[in-house]
Amino acid sequence: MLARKVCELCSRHGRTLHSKRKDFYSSASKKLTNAEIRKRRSALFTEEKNRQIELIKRLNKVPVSYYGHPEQDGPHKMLMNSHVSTPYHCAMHIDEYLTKRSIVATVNGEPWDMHKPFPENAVTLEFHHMLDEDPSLPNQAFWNTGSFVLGSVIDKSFKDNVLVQLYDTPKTKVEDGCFMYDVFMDIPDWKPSQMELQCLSREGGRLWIHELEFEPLTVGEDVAMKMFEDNPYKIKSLNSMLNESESDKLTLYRMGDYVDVSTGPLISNTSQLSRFSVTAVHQIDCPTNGKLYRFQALALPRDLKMHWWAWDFVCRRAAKQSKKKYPYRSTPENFFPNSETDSDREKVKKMTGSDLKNM
Amino acid sequence: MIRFPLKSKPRKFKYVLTGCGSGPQERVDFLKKMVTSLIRHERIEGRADKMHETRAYAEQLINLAIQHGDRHEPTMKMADEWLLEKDLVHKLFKVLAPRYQQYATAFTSVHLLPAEYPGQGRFKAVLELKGNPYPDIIPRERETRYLLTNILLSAAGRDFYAEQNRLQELNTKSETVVKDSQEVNTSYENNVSEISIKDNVKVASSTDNFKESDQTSVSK
Repeated sequence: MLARKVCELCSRHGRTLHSKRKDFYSSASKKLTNAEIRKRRSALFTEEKNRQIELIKRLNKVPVSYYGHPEQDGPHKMLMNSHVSTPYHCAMHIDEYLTKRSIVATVNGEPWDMHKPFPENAVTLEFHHMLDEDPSLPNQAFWNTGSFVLGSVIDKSFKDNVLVQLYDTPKTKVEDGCFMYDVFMDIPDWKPSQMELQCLSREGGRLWIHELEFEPLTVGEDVAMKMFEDNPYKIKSLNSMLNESESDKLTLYRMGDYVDVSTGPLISNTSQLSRFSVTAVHQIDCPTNGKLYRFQALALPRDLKMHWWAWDFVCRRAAKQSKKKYPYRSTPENFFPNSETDSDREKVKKMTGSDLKNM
Repeated sequence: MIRFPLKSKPRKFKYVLTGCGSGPQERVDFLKKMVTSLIRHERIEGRADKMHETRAYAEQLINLAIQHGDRHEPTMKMADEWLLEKDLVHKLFKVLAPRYQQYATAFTSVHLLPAEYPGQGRFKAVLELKGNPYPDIIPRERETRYLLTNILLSAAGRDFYAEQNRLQELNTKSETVVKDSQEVNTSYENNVSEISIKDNVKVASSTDNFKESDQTSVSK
C-alpha cells in the first residue's frame, strides 16, 4: 500500500513537473516570478549558444599575433580556431596574469570582449587593463558593466511578489559620477531606506566572490524577442535599439543566470569588480513609459583603490538627481526626466495613459 | 655654444692626484682623464664639483666636432690632445657628432646623488651623455590622470567648488538685500530672487530666537 502511494505521489509530481516543463519555453507563461524568468532566459541562451556551435562543421585556423607584455623578440604568435577561440584563450596561452587583469581586448584595432570568438581573417591582438596609460577603453567597458551589474542586482534582490521589469540604461560617462538603470516596479511611491540601499549594494559587492564570466552572444531579432517576451518595457528598448542600429543582430550578455542586452564591450569577469554601492533611487516621469524608478549606483574595479573618505564623497555626489538630460542607450532622441512645465506634464499624463492601455 | 649655465670662474681642484706634481697642469691632466672616461663609458660617477667641471669641457669638445667635422686640423689636434685613448677620436666624429647634430639642448646631463653617509658629507653626482643605451636614471612617470578613480574624484571636486561658489554668490546677494531693506523701508518689488529673501527671513528669525533664549537663560 505504502509503495503504491509513494508511486502515485511520484507520478503526480512527475506529471506536474512535466507540465511545467512544457510551459517553460512557451509564451503562455504569464505569472512567472523573476527567478523563473531568469532561469528561462538562461536556458534559451544556452540553447541558442549550442545551436550556433553546432553550425560550425569544420574548424578554420586563424593566426593571431600579440605584441606586448611579457616582452620578447617579435610578437607572440598563436594559431587559434576562428569562431571558437577567444582572446581569453590567447591570454591563457601567454601568461596567467593577463587572464586576470585584462578588462577588454582590441582585435584588429576594434574593441572586443574577452570571451567573444575571433573572426575569420588574420588577427592582431592587444589587451587592456584598468591601469593602462590611456585607460579610456577599459573605463568605458567598466562603466557599461556597471549598469549591466546594477540590472542584475535589481532583478535578483526583490521578493517574488514584486514584479521587476527592467527598461533601459541612460547613457552616462565616468564624469557624471554614476551609472543608472530605469526600472518599472509595481510598488507605488517607494522611497528606499538607507538599510534597503545598503542591502542592494551588498548584493553587488558580493559578486566578485563568484567569479562569473560575462559571455557575449550575438543573436537574431526573433530569439531576443522570445527571450524578453515577459518584459514589455525591454521589448520597447530592443525595438528602438534595432531601429537605430539598422542591423537585425543584437548582442546579449550572460552573467551567471542573468541575461541582458548591452552595447559595447563588457569586462571579462566579476572578480575584477570590488566596491559597489547603490546610492539612490529616484522616481521619474518618462514620456513614453510612465513612472519609472531610476536606480543610481557606483562601482570600482579591483585594481583601483580608494580611501573611504574619498569614496564617501564620490557616493554622496552619485546620490544626487542630476538635472542633466541623459539619452537612453537605445534611443537617439532626448529624454526629459525633470519636465517641470505644465504642458510637459500634460503630455506625460497622456502618454502614460495610452501606454498603460496598450499593456 | 654651451647650453647650460656656466660658472664665471673655474673651480679649484684640491687634492687632485693624477700623477706627480700639482697646479694648473695637474688640473688639466685630471680633466682630460675624466673627459676620456665620459666619452668611453657615456655615464660616470664622482664628486659633484668635478663632474660639473668636466661637463663643460666635454660639451665644448663635441661642439667643435659638430661645427668643423673631422677635416679641420685645429679640431683634430684638440681631439687628439683631450682624448687619451685614440680609438675614441673616431667615436667622437663618427658617433657622437651625428647623434647630437639636431639637439637643441645640452648634450650631457648631471644628476646629484645623496651625500654619502657615514663619510665626509660630500655630494656625489652622475654625469652622462644624452641618448646613451642605459636605462633612465629618473624613471619616467606614468600618466595617472585618466584612471577611473582620478576622473571620478576630479569631476566631484569640480562640482563641489562650483556649488561653493554658487552659495557664496547667494550670500553676498542676500547681504546687499538686507542693507537695502534697512535703509529704505519699502516692500520688495525689485527683481530679487525669492530664494535670497526666504533665506534672509530664516536667518533673521533664527538670530531672534537665539537672542531670546540667551535672555531667558540670563534671567534664570
